[in-house]
Order: sequence, then C-alpha cells, then structure tokens
Amino acid sequence: MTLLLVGLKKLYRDYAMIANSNSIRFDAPLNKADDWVFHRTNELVEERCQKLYVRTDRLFALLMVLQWVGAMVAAVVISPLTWVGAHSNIHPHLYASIFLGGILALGPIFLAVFYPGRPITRYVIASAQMLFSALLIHLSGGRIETHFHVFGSLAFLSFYRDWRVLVPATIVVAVDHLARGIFWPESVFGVITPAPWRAIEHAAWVIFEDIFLVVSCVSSARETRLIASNQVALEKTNAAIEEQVEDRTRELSQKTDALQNEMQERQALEGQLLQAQKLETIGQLAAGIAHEINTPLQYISDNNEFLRDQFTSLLQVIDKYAQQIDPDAPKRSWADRVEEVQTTLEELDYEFLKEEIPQALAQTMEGLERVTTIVQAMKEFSHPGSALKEGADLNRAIETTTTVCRNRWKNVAQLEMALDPDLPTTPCLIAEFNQVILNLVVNAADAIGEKQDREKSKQVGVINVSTHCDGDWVEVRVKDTGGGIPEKIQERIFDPFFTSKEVGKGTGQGLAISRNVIVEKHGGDLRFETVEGEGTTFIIRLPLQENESMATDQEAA
Amino acid sequence: MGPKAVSTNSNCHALLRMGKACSSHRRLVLAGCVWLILLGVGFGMLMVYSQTPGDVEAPPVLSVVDVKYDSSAPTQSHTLVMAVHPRCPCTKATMSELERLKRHCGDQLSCVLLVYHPADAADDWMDTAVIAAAKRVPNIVFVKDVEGKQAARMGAFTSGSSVLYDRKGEPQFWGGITAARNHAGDNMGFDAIKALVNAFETRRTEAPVYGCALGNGMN
Repeated sequence: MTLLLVGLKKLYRDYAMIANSNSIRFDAPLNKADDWVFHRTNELVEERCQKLYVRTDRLFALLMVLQWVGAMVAAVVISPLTWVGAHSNIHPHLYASIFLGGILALGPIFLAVFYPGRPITRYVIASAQMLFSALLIHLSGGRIETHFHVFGSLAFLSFYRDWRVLVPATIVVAVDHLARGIFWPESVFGVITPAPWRAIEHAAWVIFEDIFLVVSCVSSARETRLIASNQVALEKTNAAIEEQVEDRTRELSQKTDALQNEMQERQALEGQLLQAQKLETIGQLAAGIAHEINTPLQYISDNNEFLRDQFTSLLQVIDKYAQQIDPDAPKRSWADRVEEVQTTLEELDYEFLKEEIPQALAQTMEGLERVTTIVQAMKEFSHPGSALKEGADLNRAIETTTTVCRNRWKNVAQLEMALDPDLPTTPCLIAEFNQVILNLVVNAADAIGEKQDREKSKQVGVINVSTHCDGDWVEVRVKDTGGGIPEKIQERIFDPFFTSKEVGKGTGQGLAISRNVIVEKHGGDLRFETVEGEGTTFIIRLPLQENESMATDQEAA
Repeated sequence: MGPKAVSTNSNCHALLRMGKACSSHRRLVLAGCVWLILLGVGFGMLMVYSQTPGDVEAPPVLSVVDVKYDSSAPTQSHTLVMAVHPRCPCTKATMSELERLKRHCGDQLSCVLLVYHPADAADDWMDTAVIAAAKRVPNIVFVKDVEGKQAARMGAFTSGSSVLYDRKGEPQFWGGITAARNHAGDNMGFDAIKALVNAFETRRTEAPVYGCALGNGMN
C-alpha cells in the first residue's frame, strides 16, 4: 500500500512536471540580471530544440524513404501476385505499397524539407509514422513481429524530446483500433463481437510505452534546460572575465603610460646626473688641469724672463757692433775695435746666449703647445655633445680624455696606448663615451694608487688603453695593474652609489653611469676581467651598426 | 506627403506579406486536406480489399465430395477438408492458422488439403511457400486437385476454403480460418472449428474466406 502511494505520488509529480514542461521554461525573473539569464537561457533552449527538431525531421524524412522502399520490398517478397486459377495479376498490396506508401512518405518529406522544425511538421511526421506501421503490418499479413514497428516508432519519435509529438501518434493508433473495432472488429480482435475493453487494452499498451517516453522526454528537456543554464552561467562568467580583462588592460595601459613618463623623467634625470658627474669630474680635475697648465706656463714665464734679460745683452752686443761702424766715432785701429767687441762678447757670455736662447725658445714653444693641447682637450671633453649618435673617432676621444685627467694618473702610473689606427668611426654619444673612459682611467689610477699605498711601494703602475675592431663591434680595453676587484664585491660594482673607495673620494656613480651609457644608450656591453692582486681590465664593446630599437628609442628621446 | 506615402507603402507591403503568408498557409492546409483524403481513400480501399471475402457455398456431405486420398491415419472424430491455391500469398496465413488448429485439436482432427493444380501446370507448380508451410502441419493429407474440380464439388471457390465434417460426414463448418487476407491471428473460423471439434459447440457455422480465386467456378 505504501509502495502504491509512493508510486502514485511520483506519477503525480511527473504529471505536474509534464504539464509545466511545454516550453521548458523557468519561473519569471526577479531582477534585471535574472531577466537577462532567463531570456538568454530560453533563447539557448529554443535554439537547441529548434536544431534538434530540424535534425530529427530530416532523420524522419530519410526514414520515410526507407520505409517506403521497405514496404515495396515487403510486398514483392510476401505477396507479389494474386491468382485466379492458373492466371496471375499484380497483387493489390504491391500497388498499395507503391502508391499508398508514396502518399504516406511524401507528405512528411515535403514538410521536413520545406518546413523543418515546425510543430506541424513533427505532428504530421508522427501521424504518418504510425500509419506506416499500419501499412507495414497490413503488408506483412498482420505478423506480430511487425507490430513492434509501432513501439519502435514511438521510441524514435521521442528523439524529438517533445512529448507532445507522442499525442498525435497515440491518437492515430487509438483511432485506427477504434475504427477497426467498430467497423471490422475481426481484423483487430479476431472476433466479430469483441469485449469493449479490448480496444482500451490495445491503446493501453501504447500509452504504457508513452508514459516512459514522456518521462524520458521531460527529463531530456530538463537536461537541455540545465545545459543551457550552465552555458548561460559560463557566458556570464566569460563576459565578467572579459570586462575584468578590459579593465585590467585599461589600467595596465595607464600604468604603461605612467611608466613611460617615469622612464622619460628618469632618462632626463640620468642626463642631468651624467652632466652633473661630468661637472663634478671637471671640478675634481680642475686643480690637476690647473697644475698641468701651470707647469708649462711656469717655464714659459721663466724662459720669457730669461729671454727678456738676454735680449738686453744682445742689444749691447748689437750696439757695440754699431759703434764700430759709426762714421762719426773717433777713429780707432781695427785691433782696438776687435778687442773692444771681444771684450763685450766675453763680458756678456755670448757663447752661453747662443746656446741657451734657442733652447729657451724651443721650451717656450713646447710649453705653449702643451697648454694648447690641454685647453683643446678640456674644450673637447667638456663639450656637451649631440643628443643623437654621430660617427666618432674613439682613438681621438681616448687621447683627449687621458690628457684631461693626466694629473690623476701621472704620479702613480704610466699610460700605454695601443690604439688601432684603422679603427672605423663608431656611432656614439661622444660626450658620454668620454665620461666612461675618464671614469675607467681614473678608477684604474685610483686602484694602482691604493695598491701602492697598501704595499707602501713607489713602483709606478701601468694603465694600458687599447682599441681594436672585432667584426661589427669596436672593443676598448682599459687595463690596470692595480689590486683587482675582490670577489665579494664583483657583483655590486655596477650598482648605483656603490663604491669601494674611501669616503669623499668616490660617489659610487661612475661605473653605474658607465654601464648605463654603454648598455642602455649604445646597445653595447661593459664587463670586466679581474685577478685579485694583479689588476683589472674593463672591456667596452660598442656596435658599429646601430640596431633599430635603439635608433627608435633615440629618435623618441 | 512624404511620410504619409512611406507609411502607406509600408502598410501595403505588410498587407502584401500578410496576404502571401495567408495564401501560403491556405495552400498548405489544402495540401494537407488532400493528403489526408488520399490516405483515407488508400487505406479504405486496402481495408475493403482485405475484408472482402471470396465466394463460398454451403457444402454437400463428404461422400458427395468424394475425396480420394490414402486414409492410413486412424479414424478421427472430425475431418477438415481445405481447398488451397499453392501460389496464393494470402493462404500462407491460412497455413499458419491450420498448424495452430492442429496443435489445439490434436488427434481429434484429420486434415485433407485439396491442392489446386492446373491441368497444364509445370512440374514445380507445387514448390511454393504455401505447400512448404502445409507440410509442417502434422498428419496432413495432400490431394492433387486438377483444375479444382473436387473443391468445386465441395462448394469451395476460394483458396483457404475449409469444410469441417463430423464423423458421419456431415458438414459442420465451412469458410475460412483467417480474419482477413493474409492476416494470421485470432479469427472466427478458427474458434468455430476448435469449439466444434472439442464438442463445445454443435451448431453449424460458417465464416468468410479470404484468398485467391481457384478459378474453378464462381470467381
């Protein structure tokens, strides 16, 4: 009894579900978001159902053709001829299979082709399918096996997942049985006066199958709804993600712009820092340069004083000679005259003058040349340079820079130059390059000086500056015989504000700026090789061909 | 004027579209009606053909029929004499009903099959599915009925026509044992014979017979 109640309850629930599942819809939406989900879900469900209906319509159109052919084959095999004694004629069943089967098949095929997916199409298909069952049963001589066509057709109709399709199919079966039961009862029940419940019994078996198929259809429809609902949720999530991505992209774009601005500011600051360091260097070098200029000026001045003094002596000699040839002077003998001149020459130490004056003049000339060189070097070194890279003679730049900072290295080291005379002009920012060479040479001199202090040695070190061309690259090496770079600080030497020098001696910007100039601004490479206690070699590599990205950056800058 | 003209035009187009849709809908309905009528006529004709019985007359007593056959089987309570056309497709259903009948009646019923045979028929005239089915029925006696003369004497002009004689040779039932042409399954003739043989029924009965004409008389 309990089981029966449970069964009835379930049946009622299924019935309620069926009644509510005509268009597989949910309850009305509550708000705008729900409204969108509701409508989108319905849209997807309808789209999927429509596709399914069209696909199933086509399947049935194909099935109709097959059934038509099958009916003809069945008629030919089962009852090809009808006989009157020894004479035969084509059996009416064969005509029926051709014409009646044709009419039966063509209606649904027409609708499936021209009106696919419409309710009327599947209702007609359902009805025609059941009539085909009747025809095939008839042609097969009422074989019980052929009756399975009815149940198979119902199952096939459930492919539509629309339980309403089963209604016309069941009605056709019921009407067929009812009509036969009324007009030809024997054709269905085998007796002329069947019990009234037999028609109901026949229909009941069809309905029995219908119940399962309807439940299956409703279940499928619910699954379709669920899938659509999931898809809508997915679409919603995707939309949210896309929106989020757009927001993030926008933010990222803004941050990129901000970063670019910062980079531009940084570049400007770097330029200012470079200039500041240059000025600082010039300031630091000023005393040395002054000393460098002062030394030649000193002996130029001394020589000038010497020449001035000696010029008086020379004038006395010239006066003496002039007196000898003066016609108004008292007449003296040639010997007196010679004696007088010789006396004067001896007094003035003419031999000394003859030897020293040219030397003094030469020294003065040399001193002036030296001053000119220093001034020219200063001028070139302190030139702000172009904002764009230009072809430059690196050898010349190295000579200039080493001249400017001569006072920094001349007391501790000997400068050796091995400059490649065939070095091609190299695209570079010459002012920045000068600064790098200056930093490296000064560092080299400082390293040698520190080593001398540490070892309390007076042995002069060597700074070797060399250049050479290596394929598409120019390589500049600055080698010193200093103490080398300790391993523990090797990784940090290019860090800004890092210095191993005494407080007040180094700013810690030299190598950081040098690296920035060579790597960032020239697309080159700056590295070092060092052996602790023996010295360090800094290697600069500059490209001869400027790469495109660098050029673009440069133009943008 | 402009907007009005446009409005009128669009109304016209809408009406035209509606008219076309209506016309198309009407045509579709008309085609559907024609289709239904054709189907009704087709199925009706088929039903009428299936349900139209062949000719049968009240049979005489067994002695008049003068069935010549080798009656080696033990004497039965009833004898069923059936006239068949070996090539009638509808008679295949009759054979399956006969087999079922024999299974129900057992030894109470002896069967004699008058097989229609034209005088000038080829040797393979009887190599048919009907005869093959008949051979599966136990204790059945085949009688070659040239031109269906014996069947005609029995009043049988349609393949499947059967007459049930009692022990005295009196006809108790005549007609067919299928419900329609080539339609196996429960039927009136089958039930009548079963009832008569099992003595549930004593009244003479007849049933329609469905099959090809034997070409020996009325048809």
